Amino acid sequence: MTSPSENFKDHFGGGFGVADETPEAYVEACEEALEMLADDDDGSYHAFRDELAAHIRDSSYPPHRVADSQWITDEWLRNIWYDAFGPEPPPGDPYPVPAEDWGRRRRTPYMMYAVNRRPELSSPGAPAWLKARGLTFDDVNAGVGVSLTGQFASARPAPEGWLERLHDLTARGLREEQPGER
Amino acid sequence: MTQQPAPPPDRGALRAAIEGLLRTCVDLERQADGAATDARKRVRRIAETVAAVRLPRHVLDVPALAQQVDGLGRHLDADLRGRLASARQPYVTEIHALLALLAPWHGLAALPPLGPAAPGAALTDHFPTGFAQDYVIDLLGSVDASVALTPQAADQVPVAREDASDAVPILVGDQLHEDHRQMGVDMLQDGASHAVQRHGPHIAPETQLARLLWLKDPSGDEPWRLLPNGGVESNHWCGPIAGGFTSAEAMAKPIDALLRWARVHAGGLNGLLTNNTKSKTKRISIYVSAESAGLVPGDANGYRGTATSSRAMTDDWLDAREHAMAHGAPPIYAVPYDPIAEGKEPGAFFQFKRVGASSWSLVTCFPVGERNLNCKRMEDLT
Repeated sequence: MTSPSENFKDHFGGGFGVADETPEAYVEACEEALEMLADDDDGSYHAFRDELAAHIRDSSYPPHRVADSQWITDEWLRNIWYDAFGPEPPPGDPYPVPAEDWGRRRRTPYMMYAVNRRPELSSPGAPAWLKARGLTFDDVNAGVGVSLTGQFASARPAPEGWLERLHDLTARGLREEQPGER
Repeated sequence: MTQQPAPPPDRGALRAAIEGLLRTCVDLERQADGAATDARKRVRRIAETVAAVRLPRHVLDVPALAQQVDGLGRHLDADLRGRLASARQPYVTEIHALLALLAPWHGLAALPPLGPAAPGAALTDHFPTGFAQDYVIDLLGSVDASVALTPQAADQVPVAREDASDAVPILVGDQLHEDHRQMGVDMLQDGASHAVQRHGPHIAPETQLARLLWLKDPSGDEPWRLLPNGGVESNHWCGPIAGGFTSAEAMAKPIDALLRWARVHAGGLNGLLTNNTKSKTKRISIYVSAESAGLVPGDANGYRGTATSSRAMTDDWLDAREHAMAHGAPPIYAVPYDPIAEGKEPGAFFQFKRVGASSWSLVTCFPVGERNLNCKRMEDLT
């Protein structure tokens, strides 16, 4: 996959890609993802989902700022994928997140904004969102303060051979080279 | 019985500890430069700050470090400058160790070790180049301008007055072209919009600061309260920046630009938004550049989180805020921010939500320093 398409930006810019600016829109976008898939006359939402998977597979979504690495950008996209579509990794993900990490070792933007300590202080959609992912409020909130598990929460360093992989994907025309990759 | 693995530190606690220790270091060095009449008091305050850092003992021995700082205060009558390098060393070592623990969240497996620093070296020169040094430079760059609030101080910060808020749409409307004046006023008065409630010119800077650091809703509508454990609970949400327009004139600028564009190119706003979205799209985000809007430095103010120049650093800061919300300490910091003056690509962010097949409501409108690449540029809409 090369640069994001206009269709991708249409859907991504409505919420998933603007969490810093409007957390509410991000949360709404996550909660309405299934409905969007079910009610997709023109197929544009399925095309968006397929393209998100392709960007994760090919590291082809460009980092927003020069200080952002491609690895961190891809990890951010994996969090968005989970927040929208659940624990099944995107097709072709070369570094899938273990399903049991989500909500326990790994926190996502939805968990930070929409899942508060008490359901009354959380998004009205949070109970259904958690249930669909087999999580509880307590699971997610255990990650605030000191995690109870023996591993880092949400931290995955870039794997061995990562830069070589990027060079290969660039050489195959699947992505644009980003600053600092040589 | 097998021993449980030691719990790992929380990301937000790590970030807050690094920032707190670094600030302690800076404070120490300033005392070394003289004017240390109240030095003992200051050092005690620093020791208290360090003591508020919550990390497992194996990660950072906070009580020992706090005692070390306190001990320093007892000897301040002596010449601290002469002992600065050795006074600094424990902090540098701890900060480096904490940065190494934070590094995996930045995609890095390991940090280069601390090398020997030349006598008289700047604080930043103690840290290896790359991630550790860049982070320290970013944090140090914000020390002088940065501010914090205790939860108690945030509690005292007044929310915006409702009558002042109600007056804003009319005042903004006075600045709009008459052909779309009513449209602009209706947009801002719509119940779905929080442009005025969160970014209006009637909101005091300290109210924006309380919003950013402690998630206190500027309008006072959303629940917010201090918890017995010192933390805060809220169901208001805010990203890493809070702020707004400094006058009704400033707020009117991007609104006037967008409504004018819509009128000329699509016969009106609803037409413009409908033409540029898929039939099922629920929201659209638009960027209007400062140039197109006529926004100039001074038209916007507010605060942004300290050292948030990358995605991962921003997430560190957001986690530190969540940690502070849960525990009430250690403090997190913000710097005053005029996005129009300081941003690389200043402008205004708009978001609209669909309320009918071809009708839309404003969600929000506020000044930004960077264009989010996922927004539509006004000029690309027809």
